Amino acid sequence: MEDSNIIALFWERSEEAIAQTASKYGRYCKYIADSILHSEEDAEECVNDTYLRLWNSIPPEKPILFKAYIAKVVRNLALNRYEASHAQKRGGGAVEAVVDELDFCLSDPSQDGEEMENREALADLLDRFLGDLKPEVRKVFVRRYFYAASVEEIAESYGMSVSKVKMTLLRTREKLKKYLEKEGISL
Amino acid sequence: MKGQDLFEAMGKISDRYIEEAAPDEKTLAKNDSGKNVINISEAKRSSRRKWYQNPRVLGGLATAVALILLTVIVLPKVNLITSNGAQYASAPSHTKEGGSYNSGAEYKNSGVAKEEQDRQKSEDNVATEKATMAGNTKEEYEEEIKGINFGQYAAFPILSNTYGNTGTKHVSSIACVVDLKKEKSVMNVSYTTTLGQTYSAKSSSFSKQTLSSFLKSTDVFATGTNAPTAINWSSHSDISLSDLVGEYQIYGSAPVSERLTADLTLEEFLTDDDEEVIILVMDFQEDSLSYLVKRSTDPDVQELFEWYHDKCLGPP
Repeated sequence: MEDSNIIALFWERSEEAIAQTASKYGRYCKYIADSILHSEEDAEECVNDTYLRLWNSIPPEKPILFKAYIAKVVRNLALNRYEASHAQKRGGGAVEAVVDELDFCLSDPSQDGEEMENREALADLLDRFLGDLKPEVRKVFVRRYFYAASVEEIAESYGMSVSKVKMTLLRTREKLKKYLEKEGISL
Repeated sequence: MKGQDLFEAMGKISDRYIEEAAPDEKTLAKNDSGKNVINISEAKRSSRRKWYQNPRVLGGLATAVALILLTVIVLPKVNLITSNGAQYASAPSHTKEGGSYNSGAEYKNSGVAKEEQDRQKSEDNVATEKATMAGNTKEEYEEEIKGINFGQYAAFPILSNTYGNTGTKHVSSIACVVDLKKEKSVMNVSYTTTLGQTYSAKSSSFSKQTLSSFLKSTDVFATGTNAPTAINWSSHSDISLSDLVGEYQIYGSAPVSERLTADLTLEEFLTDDDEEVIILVMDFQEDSLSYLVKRSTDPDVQELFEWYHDKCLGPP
């Protein structure tokens, strides 16, 4: 079923919308949740949360790119769940590894000044930064830092060696660091 | 500003970049458990589970109950039963109470059960009869048997007969010594042709590469599920191959297939007298593999020796 038809079902308040979403994007949702949570049960609950969130948000929302919209919802829910369960015990997980890598991009990760303003600006800057990257580099970067995919999985997906993926990520992070410094983030 | 903020900000990037980098179906399929919520009521229920509805909690409770039952009821009753009726405790106990065949020393078994001691006596009597039938005195026979430690047992054919390599197609059996406690300690010691000739694995190129590749190709060790159905040596098969694989797992060691490529010389192995070992003797038939497995602490390892001696070298 086309995304527009699924969204129409949501607007009609038909529960078939959930079934169609699950059928078309269930595995996709599960993949994202599992990449962050690394727990079968938590991921499944997170996916169910996603359906519920979609049900409650559409309408009034009318997403243009439904797949990306779902991805953002499930990612946010997974991160919330992850943070709740790891509030007392940080370190060692897959998300920590990703976050640690991104720490590198910030000159002074501990700095708190003007944080909120920076956060708002950060998403826009990231978007512009990604727009300047070559598509193949961008895909690797997004796969790692949006989907939290492992380096091995990225290598397999894009037919690259693990070392090449690592090198690509490192260079892109270095480039991002310079870009953010230039734009006045975390100076 | 922290890496966490950057990671969260990645959640707000353009939709097109998210779609562009989305995993393909093959990747998604790997992650798929096949469960899909199909209506909003179930989604509501599933997303708001009570603690007792949480599969992880229920799984933990079930595991705890199973462990208690296993500990209290099942384990005390588990024994391995040989085809000839003797029973041996399944848990390896040689380090504290089991016996061992030490080089040049008689069999010691301070903590062995009375039944096993009785059995040992009985076997001694049988050995005496066999020795007499073979024309030797009981003392000579016992001297020969008791002087054989496990390493010697395995090495005996090598020391006795060393011929050339005739290739793999005539090979009918392989003796393989496996040390359970050492990380790198698998070696096949000898092999025997259909003509009854026994060769040193150590001196033959056949030994490590061919045995290793054979076992890998048959996948017998990898899963324990391809164990042959035809057991020609049923009277000796008191431990199944899957049990052997299980033992490896219990000892927390490397996968068997890795062990099979381990490079340990015969000398290195034989100088280490204190390790428990398993001997695995395999018999290659045209379309099946038979095997028997013994521990160095098994009282009837002598019986295995006799069998192997008879089969490979002729009667003692």
